[in-house]
Amino acid sequence: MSYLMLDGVTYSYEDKKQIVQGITWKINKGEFHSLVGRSGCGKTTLLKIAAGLLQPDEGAVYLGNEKIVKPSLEIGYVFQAPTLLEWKSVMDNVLLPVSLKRKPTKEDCERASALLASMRLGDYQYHYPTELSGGQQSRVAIARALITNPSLLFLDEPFAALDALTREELQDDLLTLCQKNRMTVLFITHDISEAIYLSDRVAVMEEGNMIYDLEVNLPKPRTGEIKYGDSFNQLCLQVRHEMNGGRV
Amino acid sequence: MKNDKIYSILLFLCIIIGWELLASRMSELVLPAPSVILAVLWDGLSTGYLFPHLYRTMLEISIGLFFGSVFGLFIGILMGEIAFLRRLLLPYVIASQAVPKLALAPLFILWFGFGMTSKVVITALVCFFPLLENTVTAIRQTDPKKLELFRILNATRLQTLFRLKLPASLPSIMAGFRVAVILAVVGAVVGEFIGGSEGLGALIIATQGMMDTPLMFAVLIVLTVIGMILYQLVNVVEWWLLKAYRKEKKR
Repeated sequence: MSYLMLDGVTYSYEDKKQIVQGITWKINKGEFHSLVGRSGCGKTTLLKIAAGLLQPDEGAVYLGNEKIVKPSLEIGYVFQAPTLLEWKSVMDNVLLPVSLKRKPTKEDCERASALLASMRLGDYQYHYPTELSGGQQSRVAIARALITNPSLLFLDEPFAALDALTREELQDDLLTLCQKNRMTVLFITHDISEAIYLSDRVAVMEEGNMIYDLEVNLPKPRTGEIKYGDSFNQLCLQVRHEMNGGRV
Repeated sequence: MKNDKIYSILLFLCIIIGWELLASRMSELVLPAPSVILAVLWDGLSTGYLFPHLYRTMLEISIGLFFGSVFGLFIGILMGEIAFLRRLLLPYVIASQAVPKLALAPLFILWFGFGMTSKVVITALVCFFPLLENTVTAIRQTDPKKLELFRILNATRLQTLFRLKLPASLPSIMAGFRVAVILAVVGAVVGEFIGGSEGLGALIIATQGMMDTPLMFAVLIVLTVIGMILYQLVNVVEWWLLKAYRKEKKR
């Protein structure tokens, strides 16, 4: 039984051609899926539909047995940019999803502290976002998405603007957190090796369609070394090949 | 930095000395010397002669500024939030922006009499627009990414307004308030020019009639000081309110 299911989803912006063309996709509980594709292929739109931010023209999205019609607390969403409120401290930014529902309790604050500590931001709770580096801001954004303990996490190229080293650190942090909380994840990226390193399954999207998908059978937990192994590179090449439309 | 301050003081001294020298060759009626003005100012303050006028003008500025800003902010929020209201009112706002507000002063004297009300209304009116315009613009320009974040967190419209749009607009609203404060002084003084017997503006007109130029200069100095103090006050409030917005990156 799949946990998240996209069932024949289509979507078009006003007066334009369909940006998402009848996509069906299933993610089982606890799985990490990545979606790769060129800019403008409809990845972000698909993610927004899955999160209930956009309503599909046709088809539907199911979480468990329930149809998703609007955003819910079951879902954590990390945007391309950190999108932090610069007039609030790091702690208040992380607590934002909670404080919009009710007054944060002591347990909420402790949970936020623990999350920040696991993201190596323990010393920055009372700093303001503008005082942090880009990588630190991205970590705060991830902590904010996790504060409500969502079972499903959507990430839209969260590491695209970071340097290679910081990006690797954050990838490992994310994997650790997801495995610890047994989270179901849909991750968007245009970086093939990032997708393969993180995922159980990688899908390639092109012009609104899923053109290819690939199961990643690399051992878990993953560590940085596998990126230099043959099987890893073989998988990257395969995906790269498909993104080129079958041409080498 | 330190040198800049010294130069600034030196420049001030040069101007005062130049003024004193120039004034010594001229009639006091045209250009009174700084020493004469200071003496008159001291006299006006020590005998308490200036205080009722000062009090009156300050009161007009404060009340006018308060009502003008509150209404400007409030209507700005409504127009920023409700597209229908914005479309309905925008032509009128633009039209009333084009009217020189101070030219309406005689009309307000006619409507509200020579008392304080007319001056407060004029002051409030000139303060209203900078607040209105800055608030509407800032609310409309809220970062779409942050709006999307609030949508994904299922925030209500009021939450989005009070927890996102207004805090995000605060720097811009404060900039509008800064303009309003300076305009408030102008509004009150011009109102007093046109009608009334009390207030620093009325006093300037009176000194003109009495050909008491030194007193006129003394009043001008008082007005300048009021304007500068109010401006600095806004700076302090702004510094305090916007502390978090302005933190430098220190890694």
